[in-house]
Amino acid sequence: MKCNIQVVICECCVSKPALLDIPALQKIASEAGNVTSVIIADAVCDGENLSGVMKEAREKEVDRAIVLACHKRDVDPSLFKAYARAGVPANLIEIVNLREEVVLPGAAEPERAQAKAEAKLNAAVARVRMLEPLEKDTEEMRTRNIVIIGAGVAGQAAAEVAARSGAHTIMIEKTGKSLKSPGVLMPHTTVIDGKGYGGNFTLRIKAGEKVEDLDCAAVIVATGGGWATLKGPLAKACKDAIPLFKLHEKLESDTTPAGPVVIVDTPDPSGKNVKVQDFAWEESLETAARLKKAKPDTDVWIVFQEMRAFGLSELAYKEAAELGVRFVRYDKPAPPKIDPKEPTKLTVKDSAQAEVISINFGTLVFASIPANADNARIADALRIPMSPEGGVRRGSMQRWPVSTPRPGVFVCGSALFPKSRAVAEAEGTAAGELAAEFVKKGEIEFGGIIAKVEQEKCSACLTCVRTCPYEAPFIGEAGKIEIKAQLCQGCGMCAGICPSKAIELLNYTDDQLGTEARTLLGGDF
Amino acid sequence: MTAAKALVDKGANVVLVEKSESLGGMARGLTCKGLAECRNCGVCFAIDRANDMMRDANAEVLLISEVVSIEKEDGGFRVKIKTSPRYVTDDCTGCGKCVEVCPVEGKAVFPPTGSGQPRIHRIDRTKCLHFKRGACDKCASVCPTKAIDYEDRATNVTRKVSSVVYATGIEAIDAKDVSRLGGGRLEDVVSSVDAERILNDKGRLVRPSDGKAPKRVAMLQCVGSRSVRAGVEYCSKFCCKYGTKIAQMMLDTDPEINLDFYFMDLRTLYEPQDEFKAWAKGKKTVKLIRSMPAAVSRRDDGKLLVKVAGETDLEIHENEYDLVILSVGMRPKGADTELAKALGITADAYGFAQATDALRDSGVFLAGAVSEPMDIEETAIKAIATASKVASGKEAAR
Repeated sequence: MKCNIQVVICECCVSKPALLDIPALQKIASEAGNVTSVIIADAVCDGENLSGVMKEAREKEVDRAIVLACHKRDVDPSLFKAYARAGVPANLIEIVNLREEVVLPGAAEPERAQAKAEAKLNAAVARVRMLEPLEKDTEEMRTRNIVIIGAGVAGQAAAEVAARSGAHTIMIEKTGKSLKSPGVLMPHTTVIDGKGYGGNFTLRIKAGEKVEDLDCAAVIVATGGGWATLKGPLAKACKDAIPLFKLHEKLESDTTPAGPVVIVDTPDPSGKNVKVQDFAWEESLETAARLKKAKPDTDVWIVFQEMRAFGLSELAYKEAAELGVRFVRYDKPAPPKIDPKEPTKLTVKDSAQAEVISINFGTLVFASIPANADNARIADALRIPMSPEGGVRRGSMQRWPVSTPRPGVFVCGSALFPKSRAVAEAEGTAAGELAAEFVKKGEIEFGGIIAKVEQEKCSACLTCVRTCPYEAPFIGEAGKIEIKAQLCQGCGMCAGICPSKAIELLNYTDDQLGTEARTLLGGDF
Repeated sequence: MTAAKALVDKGANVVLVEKSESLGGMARGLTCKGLAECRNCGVCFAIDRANDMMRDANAEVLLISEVVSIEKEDGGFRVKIKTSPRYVTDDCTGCGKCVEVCPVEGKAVFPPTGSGQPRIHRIDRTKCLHFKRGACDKCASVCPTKAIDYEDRATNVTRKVSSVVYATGIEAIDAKDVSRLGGGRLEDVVSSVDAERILNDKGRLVRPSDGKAPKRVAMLQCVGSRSVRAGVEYCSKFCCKYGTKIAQMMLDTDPEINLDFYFMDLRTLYEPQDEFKAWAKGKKTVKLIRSMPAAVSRRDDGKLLVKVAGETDLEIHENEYDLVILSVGMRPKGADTELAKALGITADAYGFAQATDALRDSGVFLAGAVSEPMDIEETAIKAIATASKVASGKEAAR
């Protein structure tokens, strides 16, 4: 194939402050092999003055380009679009960051900066000469369905928002509770398995007794928390403890039991995995204060490890204390105990006063909820990671919030870890918005800079299969590794680790990188 | 910014009015807390959104600008915005040469706060000699891009909008407010934000007084918040997360430091298993002390004395330190201004803007920590939710 390189020098990036010998750079570029066009233009990085550049690109039948400018991230997308129209695919455009790597740090030493700029230009020419055009493929989304797993606060908010944005929602709920959300509602349904990738998932669901496959484009995990029962030694001694929401219900219906009430912060204080759960505090404090207001004579105790009354719940903490709710803080090594012989007496070492307190209680309430036991199955079906506490793990903050490491899968509410109602609702809304945005695209784009296997060299050792975070490599029909292009994110880990050197990352092959490195090292700097 | 970004993604046109010279809010002054691995502080998220905003064609960003007046008009608002002069044009590359040559003590030309975007500098008219005496033009002569423009004038623009998102944010409770603990009074008592700045500038923690690395450091949580005396009875929510990350960063850069971490309750967000406690337990040099110091004083040899009740006994101890860090809380900003009143925003006793249905129906939405304490991640999530409400409100109006 032909190889006509255009070199564009962005004036705003390389000549402010005036440091580099631009005519010299121009000369080097025009004398380099395969370079058929050299242009200096102002503010190319901002997407301005592109018409002249593109006119020459068409005239000289340019098929690859080097742009001496600033960081690739700061270059305006319109530059890439214009080149695409002129027949130069994005991967054949090399952006050389002269601004941040040469001009700004080199202000004190113009000669060194000039040498570095020349070396970088030569290396870029050497590299660009070797590049092959890579096209991106697209695949139509088979459906525009958004599946929402869980019809709690977060799930319902997500469904409502996604439906309003025009998406088709399918709500899957494990229990038979009455559902009011828009779209298709599937009570008594669970997800048992799944395959595919963002845009084209196929979930295997069990609706009642029937197992069926469900196609969808995006998934929102809103499984919420699990149902708690008391665990460990406390459970053996006390049989009729109730969770916090039951106490709340009793308060609503005015059937609160007589006698002192003790609220413990976790269902298993002596357990190894004690969960200090944030949500419980707001609710515990408000419920305790309400109980005290309704029945001022009832003794109310809150037994806790760490009082996480975040933000404005601090005010509820203060109110509860003023109403006479009594607080006892224990340390993890000395959890509260109940002697089975006296099942209504709780003894706990108050670490603030360093003394042991005995409380004769009428009702024992535990305030926290554990992670949902279904999370493991759902995370496995969607191939998303879990946190050590049994919640679904969110992706890095740098991607968007409520995202998971897997495109097209979103997570909100207590599926991560216990959340308050307001936060769960906000997260559900955000997840609904982002999922609707995702399916609106209608197609998924893949390919381009991805891994490629040279099958003759592959010994099917499975190292890449174990290494890939995205499950892209698999053993194909020939008994050798193949790469599922839709799953490959182009990270290059498989290429780096392959013991037979059978995998290369397109656009960053050993040859291309090696040539670039050799040219750089030959430069005078 | 997240709300603005979510709205332009939905095809809306957004006018972003920012009082200061750059985008990024409180997060501008903060930096990445991860040395070896991501600690999920969310600062990069804020800076990335600032970049998005600067480059989005559907977003008009007005910096150093203030809303002069807002009037209701045919189902929307007519907003008058005044943009103050910056005296530096968009040609500024942020090289900083002007700052070097500025003869004014304390400098009259500044870069944007922290990692705020864009990096264009700004001249303070009240300090600059050019305006005071009409004589100096050192910055203009040294500027490689001729970006200094002494003739810059304030501009007024009017925009018609259908909804207003009010996100004026928070400010740190000034550590000087707590002079009992030495804030603003003793040189080696710094706020947590100052400590982060020192860590970034010097690569390790040093004492402001003599530039030496401290051996013993005390970190005090809940300074200025959870305090009846300061009038801030709520918990600022993010300072435990922030303080613990600073502590980890400090020990990562300088393992020699002996750290005493004083706190009331450890309310680390998103750490269901109390990872910080586990981390502290694994370090011999870190001690967690559940007690609030009463006073900090300076001994003649420069050591700081922290007066504190013992955790288990009720004795009063005086512990010696080289450096004391105050982890300061926050208070809401801008919820009780004339502008807020004109929009119908009411503030509670602590100054937090109150979200009411009437406010939402009138087309005014709240975003960020001006409505209640929250960290960057929660702010971002709630901002997307707010944007969703704004967009659906507009559809209903149509």
